[in-house]
Amino acid sequence: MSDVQEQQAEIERDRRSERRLIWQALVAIAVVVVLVVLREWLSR
Amino acid sequence: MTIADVAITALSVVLVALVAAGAVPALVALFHFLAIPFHAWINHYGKARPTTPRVAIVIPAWNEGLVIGTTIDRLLQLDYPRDRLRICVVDDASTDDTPDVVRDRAERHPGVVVHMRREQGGEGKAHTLNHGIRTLLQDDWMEALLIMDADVIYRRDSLRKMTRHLADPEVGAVTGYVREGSATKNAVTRFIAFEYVLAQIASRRAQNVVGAVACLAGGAQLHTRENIEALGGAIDTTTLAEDTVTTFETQLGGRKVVFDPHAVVLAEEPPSLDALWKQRLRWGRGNVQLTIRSRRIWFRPSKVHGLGSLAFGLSWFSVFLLPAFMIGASVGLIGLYLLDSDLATVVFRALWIVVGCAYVFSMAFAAQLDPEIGRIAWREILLFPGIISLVVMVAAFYPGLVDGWLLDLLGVDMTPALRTTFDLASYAWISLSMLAAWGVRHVDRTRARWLTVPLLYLVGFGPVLCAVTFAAYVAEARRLDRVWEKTEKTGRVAG
Repeated sequence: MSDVQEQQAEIERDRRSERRLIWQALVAIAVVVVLVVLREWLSR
Repeated sequence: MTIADVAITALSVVLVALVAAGAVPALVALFHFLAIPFHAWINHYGKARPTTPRVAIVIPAWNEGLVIGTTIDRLLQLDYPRDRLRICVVDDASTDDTPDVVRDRAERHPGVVVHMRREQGGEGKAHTLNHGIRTLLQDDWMEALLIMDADVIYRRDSLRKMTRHLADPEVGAVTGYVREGSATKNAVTRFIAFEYVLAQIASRRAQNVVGAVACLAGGAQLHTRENIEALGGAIDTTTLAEDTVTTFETQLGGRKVVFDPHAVVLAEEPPSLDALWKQRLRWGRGNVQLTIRSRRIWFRPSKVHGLGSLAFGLSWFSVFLLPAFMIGASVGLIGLYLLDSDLATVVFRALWIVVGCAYVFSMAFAAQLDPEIGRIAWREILLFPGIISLVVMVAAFYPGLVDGWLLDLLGVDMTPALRTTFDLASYAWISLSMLAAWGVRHVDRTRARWLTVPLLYLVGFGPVLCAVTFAAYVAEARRLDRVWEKTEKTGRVAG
């Protein structure tokens, strides 16, 4: 693969890697949901 | 209903509004963080192409003998065509061995490393940069200009990952992720490392999404030649926030600013709270100057740039006015307590539940963005708002936990007097935390500086940043001298 092709592949890799943000956000939302559920459970 | 009743009701509404305003920064932060996942689709990679313009790197240097040699050596290892790179060190009348180190590299790499000497220096970074930029604009070799700091270490692929965005003719400037890179980390540098995760790879992704970037990092800003020429061939010297002014001017001129989170550079950050305070006070004062200077931009949407958008304005002012929001919330809660303590309790809990959810979401999200920093700085991530604020947050979120379980464990009875003290202290702490942070900074200047770290964990890093912002308001209001104080660097960057 030429340098240019390698760099184009690197751009594509970096672009695709941004998709992990969606899962990371979902994990963070799940943490908040757990805390809120815990709050409801503790307040019974 | 008597006039007194009406007055009390009106006052209660005002006080509740003050407390509700205190939740605005948390809600804006939440909105900001919820925008980050959209970077999976709304990013600039679709317009990026491999491109290697002739890049002139300008490094302002005043007594940087400890770091400049390594910085140049690492730049020479960049994965970038050597004949398309020129490293220009603008030596601002250094009195240490900076000139010798740079001349040595210039002799070993003729035509690639250039030593530019200013015999009359001390005017600050922007003036030093301008000396270099003026010289570089005298011929047409330079196609792009990289502005960086003398202590910043570039990874081999960093520059290439920035230049790829210049394939889009609409782009005026590109910035990367300046990562805290001290070889030996302490509590202060770990707090900064995580703060940079929040402020850069989190916030700037969101800014890419909303279409307005707040600041090109001083250690990694790549401009097209056209952009520098459009800026008048010089960096702003009238404020202490030259990087942010450059960022704003670029976008106001209709040229895009792009943040690439994969272009990583390492920087040495202040290892002590006192040094950090001085650096941030300079940044904070610069932001006050810029906010006033940009008064005709805020909340005025434009087809040319995104700086006037509602999203960007809210984001900017929620940080810029955070100390005011915090003081307002404390005043509102204490006032409500005097009028109706039950209402104060309800409003207080609502405020902290909102703040707590936003805090937990943003911390849990940001901790994953740079897993290495997440691992190294887990204590600082947990304790970013400080132990005291966390106890207050937990008390509001889980009312029975602190009031019941914890006090039982400590064998303390919640008497009415203790209840009043705890409530009023919790309400006041929202703003008193800034005063406490100011006190911790002063402890760091005394022989008792060994107390700084435990106190910092207790009071929190967030309140330190708010306190510096407040100090910046005061310094600007008092029109104190705009002295450009250099942050001391020792060459401790790893990587």
